[in-house]
Amino acid sequence: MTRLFAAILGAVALLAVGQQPAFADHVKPTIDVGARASDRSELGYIIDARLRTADGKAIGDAAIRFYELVTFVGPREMFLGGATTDSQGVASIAYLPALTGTRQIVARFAGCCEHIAAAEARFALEATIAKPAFRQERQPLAAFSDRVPYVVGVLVLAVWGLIGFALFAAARGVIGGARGASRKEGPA
Amino acid sequence: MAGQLSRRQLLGTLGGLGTTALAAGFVPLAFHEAGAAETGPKRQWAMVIDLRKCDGCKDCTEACQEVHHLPKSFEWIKVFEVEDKQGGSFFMPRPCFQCENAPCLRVCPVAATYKDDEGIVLVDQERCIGCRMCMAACPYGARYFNYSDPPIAPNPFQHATPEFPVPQQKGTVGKCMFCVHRTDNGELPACLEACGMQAIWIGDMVQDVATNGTETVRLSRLIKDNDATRYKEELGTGPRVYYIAGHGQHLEA
Amino acid sequence: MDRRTLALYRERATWSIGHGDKKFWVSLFVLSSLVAAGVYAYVYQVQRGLWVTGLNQKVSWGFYIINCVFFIGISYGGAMTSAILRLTNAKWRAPLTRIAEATAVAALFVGAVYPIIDLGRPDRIIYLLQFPQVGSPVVWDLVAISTYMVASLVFLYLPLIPDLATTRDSLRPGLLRRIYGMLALGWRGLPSQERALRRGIGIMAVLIIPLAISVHSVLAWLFAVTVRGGWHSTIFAPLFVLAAMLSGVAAVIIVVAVFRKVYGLQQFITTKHFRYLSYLLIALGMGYLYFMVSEYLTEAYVLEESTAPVLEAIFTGSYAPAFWSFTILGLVFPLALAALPGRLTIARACTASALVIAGMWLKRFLIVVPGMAEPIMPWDWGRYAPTWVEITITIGSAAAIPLILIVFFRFFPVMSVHEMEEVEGAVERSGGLAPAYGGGGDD
Repeated sequence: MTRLFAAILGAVALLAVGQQPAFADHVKPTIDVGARASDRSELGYIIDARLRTADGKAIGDAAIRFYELVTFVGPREMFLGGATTDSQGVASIAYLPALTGTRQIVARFAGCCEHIAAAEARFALEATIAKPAFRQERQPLAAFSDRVPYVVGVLVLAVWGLIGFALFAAARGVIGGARGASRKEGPA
Repeated sequence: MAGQLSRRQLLGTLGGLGTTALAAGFVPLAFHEAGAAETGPKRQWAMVIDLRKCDGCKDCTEACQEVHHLPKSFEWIKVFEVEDKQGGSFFMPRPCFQCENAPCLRVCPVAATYKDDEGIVLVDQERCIGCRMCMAACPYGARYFNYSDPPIAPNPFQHATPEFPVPQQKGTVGKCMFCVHRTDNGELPACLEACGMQAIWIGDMVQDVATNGTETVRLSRLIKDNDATRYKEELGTGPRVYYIAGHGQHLEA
Repeated sequence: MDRRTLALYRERATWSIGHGDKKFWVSLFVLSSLVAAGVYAYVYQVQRGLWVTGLNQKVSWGFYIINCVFFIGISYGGAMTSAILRLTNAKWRAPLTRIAEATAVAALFVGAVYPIIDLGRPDRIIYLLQFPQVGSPVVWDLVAISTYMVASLVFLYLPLIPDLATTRDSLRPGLLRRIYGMLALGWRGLPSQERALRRGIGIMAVLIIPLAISVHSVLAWLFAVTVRGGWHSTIFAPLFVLAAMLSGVAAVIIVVAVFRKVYGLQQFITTKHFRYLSYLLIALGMGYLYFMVSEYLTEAYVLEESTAPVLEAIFTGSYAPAFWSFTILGLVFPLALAALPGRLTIARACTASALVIAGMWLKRFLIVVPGMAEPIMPWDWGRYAPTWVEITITIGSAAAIPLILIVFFRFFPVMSVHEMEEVEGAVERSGGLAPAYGGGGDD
């Protein structure tokens, strides 16, 4: 009877122990983060982060948050997205940079369950794929409308010319007529 | 008498002149690329305001007035109380929208107001003649006229610039400029920092980033995930301020 | 017209030159005081700032812009009577053109000053010439008004030349005679001179009509190129032009009636002139009513979000009293009054015209202020009430027009002698049709 009881106890203990992670001490995991180009280029890159213990054992079901280090009114960490590690300890997000060039990516694990410490890894991605450059919408008619005032300006100048012509031609006609007549009359 | 131009000659000359002018006006169009792209590392400022969080405290307005030494009638960021369709109300802070196709820029007769290369609409108060045409043209009421002298700034010899127009000049127009004088020095806009609910986000459309001082996220995600919209977009002004309405609120009051 | 009547015409036309009676000096004093009060109010405003007006952040355009449009509208009387009547060869225009042209120039000067009065920094006005932006309606305004002003002055001066010569000939030799002589450019009534002058005047008559149209169109676009409800309307330019013509003709009727009485022109300016002018008034008024109906019907049928508040305000809201006063008392009633069958008295024509002018001012008010006060953001309606500064400047500027006129007619004939001779000569040449009017006029 005792042997059966001990066997059951042992089995329960084994089961119980088996449920727990195989490590009971404080764990310091490591993250390896890298990126690869996505199959669909419009998605840009896939950033993978693998969370492992020091022994190399994968940690699943862990929440990884990804950030990009940006300079925007001071240095900031821009949140890119979060993913949960799978059974291989890999969490991935799609990432399409806004600009090409060196992008500093940070993968962060906040730690879990009192005995798994937080971990962080950085990675410099040389991005050659990026979103289409920001284009300001230009109104379709703008180019045309910008020129219209200058055309009108020429018309205005023509009008001023006409006014001047009306005034000075009339004045000249009147003055010239007087001179012509006084010449005909001779000295008064 | 010499010099008597016949009517036909006159009309002919005018006609020729007019046609040439018209033709000349259109020739450059042939060489003009439609839509010059703005690329490069320059920022393009945008703002996102989370109306779910705004509680109408007006700390943003007060902070702006304090930083720029404005009179109380100047609400460069103005908080409106809007009645929504469900019978309640919500609050809507309105800074200058720094429109891409700003009506105020087109109508200024002396180019006192202009857009810098980062998309901010600025006012050069040394140039402004105070005709207030821009105020008539702005569909959002974002411009304010200095009818009198503003309160004296602590440093009365402060040399005012369009980026930091303090002290304001009497007889000219002033408006929100996204605190470009602060952002150029690593500080966030005064309204954003003053907001206790962190409802105001400032962003860059080129880097696709936005921050409210605490969190920093992708600007495009912030807009897309929250269905952020712009106010009176149908006017074609191209505002750079997005509103997150959410919770069934409607921007169009 | 026989020679005696023509001589009488000439005598009446030049009567006011150098003639300073008590009425003149009293009028001069009163009008000058009013103008001086206006100038004082403006100086007060410049010293202190625009806060002395009733303008605020919502309603940032008020009396000054209203008056600018109003007075420039008055100046259209000159274009209408002088230019259009000349081009249509309406013979009855001859005694009226000088008064109309002079009123036009005076009103134009007064109206053109208002944008300057409205500026926050008038000391920087030179920037408009240094840095003009061709896309701005304010710059279009500057160009159009200055061009129209030069054209109006030329159009006033050219027909004046023969009359200057007449005055010159009537003067004793001296400085005054030399000045008139210089201005008269040696006019002697020779055929070659007549030809040269007629050509110049003809060009100006043709030119001044599109110029006039351009000025008020540009003033209209100041409002219409914004997206405010009640302003962003495609009919604004034709509406403003027609409004200007209407108020211009009404102003001509009143000014002509006053000068006729005071300067004793009853024999030559008769009820027939007022009848014809009132025909113009009625036609223009009906046209204006039509444009108004077209605009309001289009907007009210759809009740777009941007225009609905303004329409509501002017039809049934806080601006309704002003709007209906304008429509009924300022438009429908005076037009009906002028169109009543029976002999048109000058009093009736003047009453109708006065109501039209007042109504037209009110309409400009109803365009500017509700457009500025309307809720373009989810806020309340704005408010605007003028202060003593704006009212005083308005009164002073209104007084400036008769002041300019009475001073002008101290030096120049109040009726165009040459034009009358021209018209009468044309009549005689064409075989003695009924002259422009008979020798004895009605009163």
